[in-house]
Amino acid sequence: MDEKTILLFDDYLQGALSPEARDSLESRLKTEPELKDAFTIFRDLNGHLSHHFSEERIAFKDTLETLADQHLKVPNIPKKEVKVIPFKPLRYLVAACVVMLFGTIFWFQMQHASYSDYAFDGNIDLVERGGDESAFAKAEKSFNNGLYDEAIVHFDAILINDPDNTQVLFYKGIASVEIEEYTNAEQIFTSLSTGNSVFKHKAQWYQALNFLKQGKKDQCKVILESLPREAENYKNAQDLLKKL
Amino acid sequence: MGDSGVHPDQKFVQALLVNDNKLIAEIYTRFAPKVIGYIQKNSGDESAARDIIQEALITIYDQAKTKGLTLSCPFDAYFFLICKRKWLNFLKKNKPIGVTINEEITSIDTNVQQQADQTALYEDRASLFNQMLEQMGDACKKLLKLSFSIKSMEEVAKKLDVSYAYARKKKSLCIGKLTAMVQGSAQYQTLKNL
Repeated sequence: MDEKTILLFDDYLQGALSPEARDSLESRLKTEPELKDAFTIFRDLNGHLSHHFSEERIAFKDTLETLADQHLKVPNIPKKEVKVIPFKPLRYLVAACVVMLFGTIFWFQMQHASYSDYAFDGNIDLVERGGDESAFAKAEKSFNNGLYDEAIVHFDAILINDPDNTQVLFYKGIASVEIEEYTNAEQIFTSLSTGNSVFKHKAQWYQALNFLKQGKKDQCKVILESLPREAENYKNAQDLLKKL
Repeated sequence: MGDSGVHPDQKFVQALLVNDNKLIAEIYTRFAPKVIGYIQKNSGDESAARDIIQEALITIYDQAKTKGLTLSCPFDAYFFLICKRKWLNFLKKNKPIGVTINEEITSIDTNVQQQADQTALYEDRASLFNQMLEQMGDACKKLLKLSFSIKSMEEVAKKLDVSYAYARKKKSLCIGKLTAMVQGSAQYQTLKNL
């Protein structure tokens, strides 16, 4: 298919052709099966790509994940053994006071299950050699200096050339939570946690922290509960769940 | 498509289209258990069933959104057949040695079969499109991903530091190239003849 035909198809779909040119193409489509075939694919590809990359589709997938978490997962909570303890009032009164004292201190600590307790606190490492002036080096430097806005600009520059770079996407998600760009972070973590990269479970964990930072405890819990045992942050997730 | 009218279960397709949480939740509570049971009986577990269910719902949604989908049979039977076929395909590709597939010989309503066939055909076509997109050169792939996720070509041009006219023309040419790749692929010829 030559350039002229492609641009003709495009103009036709955009409604940019004159009535004469439109009629002429339509009659050619009736008599030239090969052209008709190409036109159908061209038109369908436009529809397909437009839908495939739409925000609406991302939101739909997000809904499905949430609903599947709610309705498909059977949580594997081990049943606790019930012990029968003989009732010895005085002994237990003292014990109860001690428990209450520590309990109160513990309770106060628990009440502050905050994002900062779990936030990413390491340095990221995107460049193998030092002194590099690439977007990777700049992103790494900005991120590690806590300049998250700036880091995101560099992450974006990398992602334009390499939109599937899950590592960069993951760090962009973390940076977005830091500067309270929650919706962007949510989209990033959703797409990573539904994918198959090594960041799948980590993204789920940071998605939970994203909700925690916004005070959306219920959503945070749903995500934490769905984190599988093999996830690196499983223990942290269980700790946080107890506090919530 | 059969000549029978629209089935009342079209409401479930509609629910997927408008992201109606309540009705979609009903799909999970009413129809998913049968799929999970089937997969568990056939060498799978709940987590595998979840993947199949999610994939099936996304396919139905994609088809309904881009090509339209009018349900002329019960959603339950249609959804189950799609999930079952997906699972059998998965097993055929990844079957561990020694696993047998309990292919039940039950009569399935022709209408349900036709509807599921149509969805399978849609899915094959969509996955061919995606496969070809992945095979494209980086420049085109990048431009197409940006153009269709950002929508505004002015913004895309700005991001790529090119003129609006160039970005628009290049986008059309990339879709043209993709069209030629699809048209020239062996899978497309097979799909076309189905």
